[in-house]
Amino acid sequence: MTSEFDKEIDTLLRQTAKGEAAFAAENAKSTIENPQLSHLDADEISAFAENALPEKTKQRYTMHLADCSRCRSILSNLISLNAETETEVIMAEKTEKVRAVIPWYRKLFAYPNLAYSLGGLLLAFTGLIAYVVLQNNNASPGPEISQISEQTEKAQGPSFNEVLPAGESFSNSMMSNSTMSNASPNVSTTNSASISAENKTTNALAANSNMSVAAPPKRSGK
Amino acid sequence: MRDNENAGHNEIKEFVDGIRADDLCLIIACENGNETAWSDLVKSFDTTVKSAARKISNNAEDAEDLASSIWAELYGLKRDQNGKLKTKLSYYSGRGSLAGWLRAIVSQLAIDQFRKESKFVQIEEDREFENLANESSEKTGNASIVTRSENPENLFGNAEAQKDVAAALKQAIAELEAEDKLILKLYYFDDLKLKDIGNTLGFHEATASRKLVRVQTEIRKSVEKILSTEHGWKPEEVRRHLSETAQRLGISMEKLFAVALFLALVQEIFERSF
Repeated sequence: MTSEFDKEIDTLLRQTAKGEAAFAAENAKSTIENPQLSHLDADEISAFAENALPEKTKQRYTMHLADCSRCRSILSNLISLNAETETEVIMAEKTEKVRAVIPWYRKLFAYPNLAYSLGGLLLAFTGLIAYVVLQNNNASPGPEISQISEQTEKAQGPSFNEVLPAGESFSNSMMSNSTMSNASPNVSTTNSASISAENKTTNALAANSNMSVAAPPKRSGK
Repeated sequence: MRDNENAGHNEIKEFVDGIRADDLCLIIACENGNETAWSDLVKSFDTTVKSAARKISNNAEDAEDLASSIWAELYGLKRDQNGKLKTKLSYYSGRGSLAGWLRAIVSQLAIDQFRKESKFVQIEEDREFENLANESSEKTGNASIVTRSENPENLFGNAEAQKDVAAALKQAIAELEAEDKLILKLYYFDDLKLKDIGNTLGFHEATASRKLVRVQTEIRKSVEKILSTEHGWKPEEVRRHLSETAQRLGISMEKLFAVALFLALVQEIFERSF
């Protein structure tokens, strides 16, 4: 007993199928001549197509469908429609699964409008932060006072550096002055103190020089 | 119960459990004239009906007409003696799904309309096998294959042989078991896939394939037996003729296939170039 696909019989059957209209005509006639041979209704055919019948009912319907081309045509159409619908449902479920696998950050870019909106918001927020920082920098008092101190220092000479603690440079003092407003009065106070001290020294030197000029000669007459 | 009067408790329970209660309740409510139920039915299944109508019909207009006819028949256009609308809703038993039932109604209406329209088309009954072979050979230019010799006796002999083969084939198909006959017709006459046939009849695609091969074997045995016993052919004549006929058809089919493939290739090259 051969178990291979019989190509000769397959070819003959396919060719015979083309003349199936003759079979259909015969069956239609037999239906008309024999009114007891009633067709299956849509409910029976749909239950058969979905394999939702008890075994004995299924056998009865099978016997009718094997010989009735009209009911078999309805059945074959219905099977094709059900198969196509099932395929569409499976594709929809697969698409849904793919969507569920997408990470949340990628979902943001799934919708172009949303991505553009978020990008715009991000730019606006960055601009706002930059503006606030710039505003803070401009509103700070440190730099103005440091300018004033610098001018005063130039007028008084290098004494300003003597006021500073050992090892501290001018720029460091300016940085500290810009941040600490309390330090500035001390600097000016210190500067005025040094100026007064220098004045006193200068006056003292001047006074000594006068005295040495005023006290001349005591050696005359012998 | 009609098919199995001695059904046991388990069988009845299985049957009852398999009923689609939700769908059945909706249909019963519609049958009783519940407007809300009708709204639900249309809202839930209008797409199903329209989709099925589109796939079956030749154009959008016919699909629209078909879908409208379905809803009209479901709603009921005529009234019975009691004044109640005659509707197809009462035919739904709940065994299959409601969507499947609606698709079956669409298919049934389309088939019945088509059969009414094609009633006036003359169908040649008992279309002999040699007519089919001749058509095939003329289309592919292989007339010489069919008429191997100019001897009228040979021509007549070939025609008669083909007639005998066609009749034997028809008889062999008619003698098959119901399920085998249905599988053969669904596969060869309706062009269904073995997977879909298996799902409908309750077995796997591989099982459907094995059954089909077994059916082919039975057909061959039946045809050989009929040709030997009823037409007096010798076994070697039977095998030779079957082989020659299939070869002729195979040649013509191969040529048709080759032409179709060539045309598809040309079309693809043309589309890619432009």
